[in-house]
Amino acid sequence: MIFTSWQFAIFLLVVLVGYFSLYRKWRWQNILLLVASYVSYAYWDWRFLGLVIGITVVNYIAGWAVSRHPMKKRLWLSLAIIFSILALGIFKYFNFFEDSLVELFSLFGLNIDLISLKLILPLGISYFTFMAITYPFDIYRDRLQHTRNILDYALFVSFFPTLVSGPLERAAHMLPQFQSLRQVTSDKINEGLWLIAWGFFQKIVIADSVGLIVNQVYNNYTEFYGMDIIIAVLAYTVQILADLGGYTDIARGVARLFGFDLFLNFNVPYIALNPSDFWSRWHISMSQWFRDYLYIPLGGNRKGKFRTSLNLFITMVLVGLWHGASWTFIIWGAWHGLLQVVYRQFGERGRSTDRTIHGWWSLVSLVMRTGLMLILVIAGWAVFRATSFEQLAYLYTNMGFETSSITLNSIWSLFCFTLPLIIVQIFQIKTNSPVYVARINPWLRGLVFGVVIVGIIVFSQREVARFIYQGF
Amino acid sequence: MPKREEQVNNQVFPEYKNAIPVWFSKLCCPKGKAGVITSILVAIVFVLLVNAISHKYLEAQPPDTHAFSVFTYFRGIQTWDTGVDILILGDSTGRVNLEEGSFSDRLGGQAVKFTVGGTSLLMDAWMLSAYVEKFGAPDSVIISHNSPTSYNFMHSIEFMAAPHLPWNYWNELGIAPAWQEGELIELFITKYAVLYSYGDILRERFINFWDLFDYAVKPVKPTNEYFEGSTSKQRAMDINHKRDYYTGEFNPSADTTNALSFMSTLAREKHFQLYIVFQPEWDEAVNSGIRKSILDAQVQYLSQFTDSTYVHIIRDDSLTFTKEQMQNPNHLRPGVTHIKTESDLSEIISIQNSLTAGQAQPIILDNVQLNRNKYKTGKQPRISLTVSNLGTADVTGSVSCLAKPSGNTDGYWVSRASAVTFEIEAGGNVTLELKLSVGELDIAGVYDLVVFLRQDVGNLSNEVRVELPGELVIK
Repeated sequence: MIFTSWQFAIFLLVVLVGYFSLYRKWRWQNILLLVASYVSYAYWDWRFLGLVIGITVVNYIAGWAVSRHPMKKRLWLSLAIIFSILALGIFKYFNFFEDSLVELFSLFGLNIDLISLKLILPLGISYFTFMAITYPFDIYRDRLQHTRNILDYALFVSFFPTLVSGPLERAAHMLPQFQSLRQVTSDKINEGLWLIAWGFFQKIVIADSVGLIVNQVYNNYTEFYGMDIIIAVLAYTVQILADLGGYTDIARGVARLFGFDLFLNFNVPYIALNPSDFWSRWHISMSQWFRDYLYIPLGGNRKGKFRTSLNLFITMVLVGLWHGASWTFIIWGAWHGLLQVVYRQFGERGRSTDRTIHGWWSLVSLVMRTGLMLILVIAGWAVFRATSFEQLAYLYTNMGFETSSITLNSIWSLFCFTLPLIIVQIFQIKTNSPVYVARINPWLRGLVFGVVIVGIIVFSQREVARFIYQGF
Repeated sequence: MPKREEQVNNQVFPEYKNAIPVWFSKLCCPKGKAGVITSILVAIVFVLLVNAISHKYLEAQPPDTHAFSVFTYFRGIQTWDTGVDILILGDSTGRVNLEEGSFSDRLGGQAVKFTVGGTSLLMDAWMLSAYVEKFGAPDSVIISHNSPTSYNFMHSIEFMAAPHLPWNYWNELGIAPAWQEGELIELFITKYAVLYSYGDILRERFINFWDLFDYAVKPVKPTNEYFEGSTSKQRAMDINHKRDYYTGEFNPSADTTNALSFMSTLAREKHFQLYIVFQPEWDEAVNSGIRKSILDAQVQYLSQFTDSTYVHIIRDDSLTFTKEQMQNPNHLRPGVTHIKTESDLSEIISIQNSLTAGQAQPIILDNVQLNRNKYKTGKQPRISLTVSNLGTADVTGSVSCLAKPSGNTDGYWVSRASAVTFEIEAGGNVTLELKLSVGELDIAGVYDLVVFLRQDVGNLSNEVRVELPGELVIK
């Protein structure tokens, strides 16, 4: 069930009523949430519910085996990872690798005919698979005890706010919350309501509106040139942040209404000073997942400069591949891997996140470093959004400063819809809190809610586009 | 241990703990559940307030989208000081195919078109009602609708939900829509929850805020147009592709029946002429017979509203149009509209002549004098005419004329002189000058002149048509 549908609003209301009617009976609340989560997923396609349950059961058993058989824990963990990655590989990457293989052979004049499995990509598979793996992994690393109640673990894997597009939660973070009495305080309700309202605003006002500028150019790219392409790429830079940021905020807000805290996923990423700063602000739950469950097991930075760079590069390429079965995602991942490697050559200065302004020179330096990083990130988004190499090549070779009849309108529209995001992020930086609105005076808070709701009603696109990360 | 009231004061305004009453600090900064509820209530009040302001704004600056262009006409009615003589109502078949200039010339007075593509007969009835309410009855009302689609239309929520029209205004106009279940709630929401229902319009205007107060609808004024027709690309005309909607059942809606009943009753009460004009017909479709049943059903249906005095059907079975003359199955191309307009007018004149027979004074065309013998192409000839009143009473009326290639019917006119009014005493005469200023005489040849002598008989006209073959020569 998608957040932006009316069905979800009704569904959430019903679940909340049921949830609070089970006041203090947290085990029953968990069962209710588990049923609701399965219903929510089955609403999209009931046939794939078996996949969610299968991955849950396998990883749960692996977790149990890891805890019971310390001597064979590596084997059990490997089996769980192989099974999960295999499921992900079949559903998400089979067609991609098959097509790539056929194309590769055709370059040498060989036409091969492989099995064609036109598989549907199960909703949220990249998320629930990776979340499920964290359970045996965390037990393996002694960060978590095996839980006796499989239902709690099943709820962690399928918890409906995070099931489709994250945040990419950890068993060690969520299970303790699921296994204790809920504290739904008025502060949490305020925070939850703000996150939901602002999340919706980001998605259906900002992301969908600037998405029109993006689609206009990307869907008919040969008709555009010069400034229009640059504006489309800038618009996509805003769109992807507002889209995924909006989704995450709604998920976090919904979870908070039930009394749970989810990871902060975005922390004003476009003010990053360098690639490592960017990845500590962008899709934080995913980047930390890859850091903890891939980069560090590969050796991290413990095996010399070359291996560190190699590990970083491999990790970032796989981050790209995780987003989708396409070469453009791989290139995007490689681009960020390259940036990480290059910036590391500048040592501590390359990784510094110090924003203290000592004088004019440090201010200029700060602005320039932020600007440069933003340009590099935007360059990556142009690749990320491209659907083919031809499109990518056209867009990069036809960027420029020539204007057309739509340029001014696009700039104005982009400015209007980006402004609220900038304003909110300035407050977020100043207060160092993404939920600062929840803490202001209730009268003022109500007014801010009102402004956001009016904004959603008036400025939302009536035809809501699906979440970008829903496709990953 | 301080009391609870003191605790509250200490938390909120520690330095003024003795000066600020507890109730005031609780009101200013409610905590816990009260804080949550306060925020939610403030948000709701804020949204309602902004909605109310937006509603006021849209009342003053109403939307002017396609469906709302009817409001332009309502505004036209509201801003006029005096009425007109001929109202042309209907959908795009009226807008495209009928020329108000010719109606004005041959029926006398001013004509205005209140036609909107895709409108319903109920809207026509409302328009007519609003007009009659302000100015009294016009002399003639022409209604032209596409059959059968237009007759099927129910009322439009979108139209009724316009913020600047009061709730229930349809009742004030004398005819309520045939409501369907749940429709009034939908209408209420659409009409008053403007943030949602007019969100797209508000969004567009807020983004282009410099034009926020520059959306006032421009009122319509009477015009004297002689050229209409669709200039857009011609549709592929294939009768096999038109069958579903072109030859389907003739099923008039309850709104249509109510509207026609209302308008025909109004015509009889207020003594004006109501002409229900049929759409132009495509020869290929008519000849194949696929249109017969629907047209017969339409005639039969309309016969319940007609009479011999006030409400008439205007239809010429023999007039059909070729594929090249039509833009689509009910829209004519520019210029071809002359044929349809003159044909309809001839029938209307014929009805009015029979209604005024015995009441009209005998007037004749005594003398016709062109200012030259021959003209170069592109020139606008002037014609001097003498009209004599042979009757025993004074006569008022007008004279107009047209030029057509010799041997053709009036609908093929290429140039026209707008009507000039006259007033002639009994037994007297008057000399008038007409100028063929409408259209162009840009092809050399011999042209017939047709002069229309029209006299007022009450609110009707009596016309004498005088044809002067080969009178005009263009070199």
